Amino acid sequence: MFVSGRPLLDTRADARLFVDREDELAALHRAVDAGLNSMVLGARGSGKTSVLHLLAYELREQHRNRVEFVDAGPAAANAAALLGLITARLLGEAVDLTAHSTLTIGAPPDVPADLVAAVERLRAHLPERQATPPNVGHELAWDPSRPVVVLLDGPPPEVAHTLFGRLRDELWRLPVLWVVSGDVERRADYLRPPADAFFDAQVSLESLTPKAARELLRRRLDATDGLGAEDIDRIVAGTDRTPRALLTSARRHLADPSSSNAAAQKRRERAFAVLGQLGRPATMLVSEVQSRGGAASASDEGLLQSLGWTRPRAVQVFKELEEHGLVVATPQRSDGPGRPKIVYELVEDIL
Amino acid sequence: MTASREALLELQRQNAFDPVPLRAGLHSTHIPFDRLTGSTNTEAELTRCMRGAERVAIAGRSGVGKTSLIGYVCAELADEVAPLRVPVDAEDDDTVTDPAAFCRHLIRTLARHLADARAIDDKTRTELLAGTADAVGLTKRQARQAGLGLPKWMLQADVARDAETAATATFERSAADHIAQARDVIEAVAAHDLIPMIVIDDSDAWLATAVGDRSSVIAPFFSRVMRVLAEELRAGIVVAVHDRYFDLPEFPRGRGFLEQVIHVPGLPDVDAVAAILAGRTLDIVDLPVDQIVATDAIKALHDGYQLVEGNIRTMLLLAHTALQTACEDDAEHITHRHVEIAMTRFRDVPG
Repeated sequence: MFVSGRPLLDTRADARLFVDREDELAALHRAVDAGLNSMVLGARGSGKTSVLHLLAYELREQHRNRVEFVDAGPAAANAAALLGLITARLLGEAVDLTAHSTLTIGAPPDVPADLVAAVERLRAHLPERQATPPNVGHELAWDPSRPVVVLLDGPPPEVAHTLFGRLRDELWRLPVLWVVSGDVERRADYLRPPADAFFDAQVSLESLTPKAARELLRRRLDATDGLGAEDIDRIVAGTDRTPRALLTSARRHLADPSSSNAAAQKRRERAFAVLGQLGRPATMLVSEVQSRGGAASASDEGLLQSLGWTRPRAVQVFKELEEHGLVVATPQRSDGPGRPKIVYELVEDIL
Repeated sequence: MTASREALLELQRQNAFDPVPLRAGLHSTHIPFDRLTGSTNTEAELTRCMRGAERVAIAGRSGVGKTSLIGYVCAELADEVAPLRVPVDAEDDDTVTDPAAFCRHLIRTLARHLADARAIDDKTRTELLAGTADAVGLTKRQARQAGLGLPKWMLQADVARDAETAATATFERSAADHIAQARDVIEAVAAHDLIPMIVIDDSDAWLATAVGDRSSVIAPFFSRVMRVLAEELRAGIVVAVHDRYFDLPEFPRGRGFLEQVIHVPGLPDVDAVAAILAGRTLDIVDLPVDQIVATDAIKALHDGYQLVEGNIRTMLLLAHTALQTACEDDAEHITHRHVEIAMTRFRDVPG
C-alpha cells in the first residue's frame, strides 16, 4: 500500500491518526481560551501543519470560536496578497488567487497605507459577519461574541513580520486570535521586534519521542502493510524522528523489494501455496512468465517453445491461473483483423 | 368508483409513468423485486452485501431496474451506508482504464457534489433530510440545484465537511497520490461510522452498438481499476454490468475482483406489472390501480413487457404513452386500446 507523507487534515479520520503533541496542543488551547496569539515553531517536517489542522478540528468540535485555516503557501507572495486572502476568507468573499500570482517576494516594499486600509476594512466589516453565523453549508455555528481563530500556516518570515510587526497595533484591534506557524530556523526573523510582543505564547515542536514515533508509524501504515516491529524500530532509529522523515523512510522501506516487507511476503506466500495446489504446469508457466518480465500471451511463440506446449494448452493453464487470481488478463487489440490478443500479467512475483 | 378524467390528467401532469424519472426520484417509486418474486435474492441480498462493504455486481439487461434497485437499497440504508456515485459512461477511456485517473475522477466528482451540497440553504437541507422536499414541477436542472439526488450523508455537515476537506486538499500531485487521496476521502467518510460504497451504475453501457464500440474499456476497468479499488480503498463497490458482459472475451472470467453477482430478476406475472404501476400512481391519486388502468390493459402491458425482453423502462414508456392517449381521448381510465395504440407508436419509432 502506498504511504502518503502528507500532513494530517482537520477531519475526524485524521484526528485519529494524530500522535503525541498533547502538551503543545494543550498550550495552544490555553492560549486561545485566554485570548492570546500564539506562534508554533518547528523544523521542516516536524508536523506544524498537522498540529494546526488538529487544533482547527478540536476548536470546531467545541462549537465556540469561528475557525479559519489559511494556508499561506499559495498566496503569501507578499503581505498585501496574504492579507487579501485572509480578508476574503474572514468576510466570506470569493478569493481570486490568480490575482496575486504575479506578485513575488522580491516585489517593491508594501505600501503600509494600503495595508492599513485593508485592515481597517476588515475591522469595519468583520463584526457584522461574525454576528451572523452561517446557516448554510458545512460551517458549524459559532458564538458571535468570541473572536475568530485564524490558523495561519507557514507565512514567509518577511511577510509575517510585515503583518505582525509593522501592522501589529492594527491587527491587535481586530476580533481575531492568531495561531501562526513557521520554520524554527527563522525564529529570529518571525519574532523580530515589534512582532515579538504580538505572540504571547510560543510553542516548539521537537522531534517525537521514540515511543511516539513508533506509534505514528503504526497508525499511518495500514495494518496490512505489515511492517514488523523490527522494521519500525529500524526506521525510528534511522531518522531524526520528525513525522515527515519517519514517513519518508517508511515509504522507502516499503518500496524496497529487499526489505522484509511482511505484507508483500505474506502475499507471495499465499500465491505460492495456491500455485502448489495447481500443480506443475501452473508453476512452469508462472516461472516462464516471470522470466519474461511478468507478462505474456498464450500465442507467444517463444513461451510455447520453452514450455513445449500448444497454444490451447497455454490458454488452459493461463485461465486456471486467472481463476485463482494469480494473473490478470487484458485484451490488446492489434491494428490487424482477428480477435484481440489476451495478455496475462502476473499479479505478484511468486517464485 | 372509477377513475375520473381529472385523475388521469393529474397523473399525466405529474408524469406518473415517466420511464426515466430524476435519479433522485427513482428509488421512491421502486417496488422491491423481493416483494414481487417472493424471494430474498435481490434487495435483501444487496442490503447484506452493502452492510458487509462487499464488491458486488448488479447484472441485467438495459432497463431491467439495476439503477433503481441500487438507489432503493442505498436510500433504505442511508443511515449506515454512504454511497459515492461515480459516473463512468461519459468519461474518456483513460479515466475508466487507469486506476489513478479513475481515483482522480472519483475525487473530483465527489468534490463537485459536496460543493453542491454546501450551497444548499438550511431550510431546503432540513426538508431534504426529512424527506419532504418535493420535485414536482421542477426541471431536472432545478431539482439538481435543489439538492434532490444528493445522498443523505452529503447533507450532514460534519461528514460532508470532512469529506470535502480530504477531497480538496492539494498536496497530492502524482498518480500514486491520487490513489492515496481517494483513500483519504474514503477514510474521512468511514470515520463517521458510515460504510463508504462506491456506486457505478452506468458501467453497463460499454457494449459494441451501432453508435459506437467501447468494449475495449471493459477488461482494463474490471481487472486493473477494480483491482486497485479493491486493494487500496476500504470501501464496498456496487457496479452495474450488462448481462452480455458475461459472454464477452473482455470480461474477466470468474468474477475478477467482484465478490458477488446479483442478477436482477424478471417480473414474474401480470400482478407484478400492476404493482409497479400502482407504485407510480398511489402517491398521486388515491385509487386502486385497476381503476386507473383496466385489467386487460395491464395484461397488454405485461405482454408488451415480455415482447421487449423484460425491459421495465420500455414497459413504462408504453404506459406513459397509453396515459397520454387516454388523456387525449378524454377517457376515464386507460384501456386495452390505449395500450395497443402506444405499442403501435412504439413500433413506428425507428430503431
